[in-house]
Amino acid sequence: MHRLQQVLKNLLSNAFKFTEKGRVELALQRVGEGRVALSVRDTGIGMSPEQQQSVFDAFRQADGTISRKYGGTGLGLSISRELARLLGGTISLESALGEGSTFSVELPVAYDPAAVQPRLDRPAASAAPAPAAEPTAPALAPFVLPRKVEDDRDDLIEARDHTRRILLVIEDDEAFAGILRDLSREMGFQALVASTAEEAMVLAQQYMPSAVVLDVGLPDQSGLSVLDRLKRDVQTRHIPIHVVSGSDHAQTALSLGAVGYMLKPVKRDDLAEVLRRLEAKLAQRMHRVLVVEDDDVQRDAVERLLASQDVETVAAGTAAECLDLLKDQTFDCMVLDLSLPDASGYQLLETLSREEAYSFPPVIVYTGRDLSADDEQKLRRYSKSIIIKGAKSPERLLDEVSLFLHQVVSDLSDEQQTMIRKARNRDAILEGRRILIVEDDIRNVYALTNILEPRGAIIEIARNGREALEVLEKASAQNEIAIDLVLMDVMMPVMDGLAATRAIRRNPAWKALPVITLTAKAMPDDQERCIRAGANDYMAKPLDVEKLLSLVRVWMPR
Amino acid sequence: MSAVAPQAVVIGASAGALQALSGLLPLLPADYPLPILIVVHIRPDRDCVIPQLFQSKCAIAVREAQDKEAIAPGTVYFAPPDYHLLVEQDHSLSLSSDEPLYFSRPAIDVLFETAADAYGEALVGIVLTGANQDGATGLRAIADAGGTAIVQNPQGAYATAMPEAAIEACKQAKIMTIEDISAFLLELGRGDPGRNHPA
Amino acid sequence: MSEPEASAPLVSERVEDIEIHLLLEGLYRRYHYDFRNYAQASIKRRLRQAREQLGYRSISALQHDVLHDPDMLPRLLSYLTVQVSEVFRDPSYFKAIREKVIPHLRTYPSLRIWIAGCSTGEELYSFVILFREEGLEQRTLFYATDINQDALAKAEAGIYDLERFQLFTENHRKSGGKSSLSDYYTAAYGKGAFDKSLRNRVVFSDHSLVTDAVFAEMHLISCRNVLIYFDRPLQDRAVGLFNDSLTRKGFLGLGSKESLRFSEHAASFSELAPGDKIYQKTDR
Repeated sequence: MHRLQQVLKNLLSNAFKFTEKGRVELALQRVGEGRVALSVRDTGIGMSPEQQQSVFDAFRQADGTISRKYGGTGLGLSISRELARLLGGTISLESALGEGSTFSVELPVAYDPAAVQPRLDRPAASAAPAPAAEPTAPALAPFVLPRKVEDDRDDLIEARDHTRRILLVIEDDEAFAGILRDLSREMGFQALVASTAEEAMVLAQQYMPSAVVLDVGLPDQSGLSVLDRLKRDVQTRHIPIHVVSGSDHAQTALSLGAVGYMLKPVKRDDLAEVLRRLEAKLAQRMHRVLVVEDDDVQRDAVERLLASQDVETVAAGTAAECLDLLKDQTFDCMVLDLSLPDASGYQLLETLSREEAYSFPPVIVYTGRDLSADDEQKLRRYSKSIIIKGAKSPERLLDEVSLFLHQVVSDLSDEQQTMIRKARNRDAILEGRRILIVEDDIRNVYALTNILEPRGAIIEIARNGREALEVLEKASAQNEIAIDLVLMDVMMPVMDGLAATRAIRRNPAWKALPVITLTAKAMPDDQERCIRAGANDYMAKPLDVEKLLSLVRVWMPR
Repeated sequence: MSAVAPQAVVIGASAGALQALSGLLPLLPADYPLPILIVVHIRPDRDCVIPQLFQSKCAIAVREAQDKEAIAPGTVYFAPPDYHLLVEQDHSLSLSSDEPLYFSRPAIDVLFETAADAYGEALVGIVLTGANQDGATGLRAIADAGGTAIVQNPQGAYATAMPEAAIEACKQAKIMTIEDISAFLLELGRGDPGRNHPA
Repeated sequence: MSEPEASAPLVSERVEDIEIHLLLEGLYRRYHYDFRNYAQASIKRRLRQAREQLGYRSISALQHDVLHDPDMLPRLLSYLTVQVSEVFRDPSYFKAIREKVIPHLRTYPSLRIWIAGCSTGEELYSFVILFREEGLEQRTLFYATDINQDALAKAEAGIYDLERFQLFTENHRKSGGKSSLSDYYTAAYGKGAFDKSLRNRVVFSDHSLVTDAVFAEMHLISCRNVLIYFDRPLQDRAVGLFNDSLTRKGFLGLGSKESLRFSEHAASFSELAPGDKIYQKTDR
């Protein structure tokens, strides 16, 4: 059911994308014995016969190389085709230029493994029964060796969560290569087979396999040199490589970075075990980190620091490059230097925050500059973490990146999840009201903002009593931005909450301004002191969300 | 003299402490049934090697006392440098950073007084060689609470001021040589509270 | 046979324990100073001293005056919260801070340091001077808290007896001080006064580890020789507060013979190096 949903979502979203006016129809009908067809018809731009040929092959670009760029309609269709196949069905397409398109998914009502077509078939494009287009030779491969052993390079799919289970088998013995390929497919991998060192390097760099099984004895070069080259390349060094060989090079292989070594002849069971272990390791998904840094040396250093078995880094040297990447890719985390040649890091963050078109991953600011308190506060609006470069900063960067990568929504506490769910409701009493939060502890500022902003309140922040008075002054000068209610922390530097509250009350203009003090002090007379200073009410820390909301509602002027 | 079987022994010493204690501790068996708490006047440096020194020579377990640690039998606890050692009602140990007493921190009086509060009659207090009067008031408190008070004979002591002050303050105290104190402790361990010893 | 006399001291001791318990309860209910969960042996010593030096024949008599005469409160408190400290006390602690903690703190654009239980301020000035020497003073806010108002006032004044400065100077040097301590104070009339610029980045405040909550996020908390005065449950509460206050991978410094070993929060911290008594908050 889930797979079917994926397919339908993909088809529908494409239909909507290409249909400016008119309609999109989803129809379901019986077709023959025990089969149904779901079709998505749109009145969009439609496709020419040539376009129809390539629509399912969007992995291929004109030069025949496979793009590593994800997203876009074609990828979705490739997956959809694969999913339909796995369900024992097919996808077909009817279309004409200017008249819209109809994608049909034909499936058995009940799943029947016998109905699953083998992977190599291409779907029929019903507009014209033209043969599948032959891929043109990859522009970068200098060789044109016929493929000796059949593999999956033409049929690579990518799962929705970007996991790639591609095993690269580097083995010139055809029979053994075939065994490895079949075994790996059984384990859920897709297999690529290279029979020479050169082909191996090309395939490795092009397809970025998740794991490699490598034979040392190759016709053009020792497999050990392949091992060495792969381990020295920043892009591929994290790929686990298991070496299988006829003569004993175990020590060398292991010292070059192989994760394991097996001597031929190898039992099938042992091979299966190796693959099983590799597979288990890869069950962890691959994370992606965007590194934005204009200095080459520093950027390289950061990429080296972060790249690992499950972290992939992508680099940008300017704000423009960064924006480009974020326009059609998502990342788990972004490391940002503030001084970029074409814009300040802060401007970049503002853009990302403002424009819907860009994905906005969690940001770690990594800068060599000292920051003023103002700078820091501005950046904190967008960045969870700010690190100043220094002797211990790589350690901290690695730690905080790992933190972001492993935090998953479901890891949020129950309270947080409840808050997120509840916060979707606007609250009439708070809608459009301006609340001034005077608080020194940034975590509380986040917490309070996250509670109040989704409910419609407009939040102003001051870090201490004196700033609070300044903000109030500025705000009362213009009626539209006047503050409606103040949440005042008591213990702050420069001017504490009680002094600030007294100062507020001394000003006749603010006599009726509601002030709720937030105090870490729990004793009755501490709270008495708040009232005597002129607060309307107080809340003890740690803050109770519900109670705070009700206090705010109570005191918010009508 | 106490009619109740002792449950703990407290010892205080200053100048000459190591020599005196070497005549007592190494002879105790590993399964000695009582805990022994000791204050030696030491410099406030962070590391004090005395516990390790004795552990290498003793069968009984020897350690530096830790805050909030439960007092266990068969263990010798030394007060750490620069902290007073106190005994709580529930027979756990506490440390304190209060002012030095007689220029000493750890001070013997602090240990003895709190131990007297916690153990009452079931306590043996021993003052050994030393150069000031720390321990005199404490020993008196132990005796007043019904415990057993013992002072090293000043004649055999390296420094006499401490035992003399203790004798002066605590009239009930038994004066013994190191050898006699050793025998007394061993008998305690065997379950005889030393009724056979001369006063 | 001296049995009747032998039992008499025990009985009157128990009465004393009852009196202490009642006085602490009264102190809490009347003035909200909560010493009920402090380690009792030390409290008893201090109360006995207070009783004796203030001239009362019993703890109950002392309690009577404390409850009825608010002026007695600060006098009693001065016995209950005695805390003797030194500037750069235990120099190896500050050396470890300089060498092992400061490099981590440099990676933060702004810092917050909490001296919890600052008493008369010696430890506070130690930190401000150290941070100034390391060039971190301007980006740091120092919070100095205590329950004793008199002690806080003294801390804010920063004036100490001149003869103590010999030891302070020696301590400072041993801690790896990069200048002379005399750069930071002036001497006159038998007193040494720390430069008031050292207070520019300091917030002094009343705060109780027994009753109050977290008030700000901290990168480093120094609480030395305070926890030993608490019983175990109260120690756990305090360490819990520190844990909640600390930022990720923040630091907690304790006294030279204190430890987190018996704490229920032990797993949340790891010690930087054995014997340093500087702990770092771990991931979980």
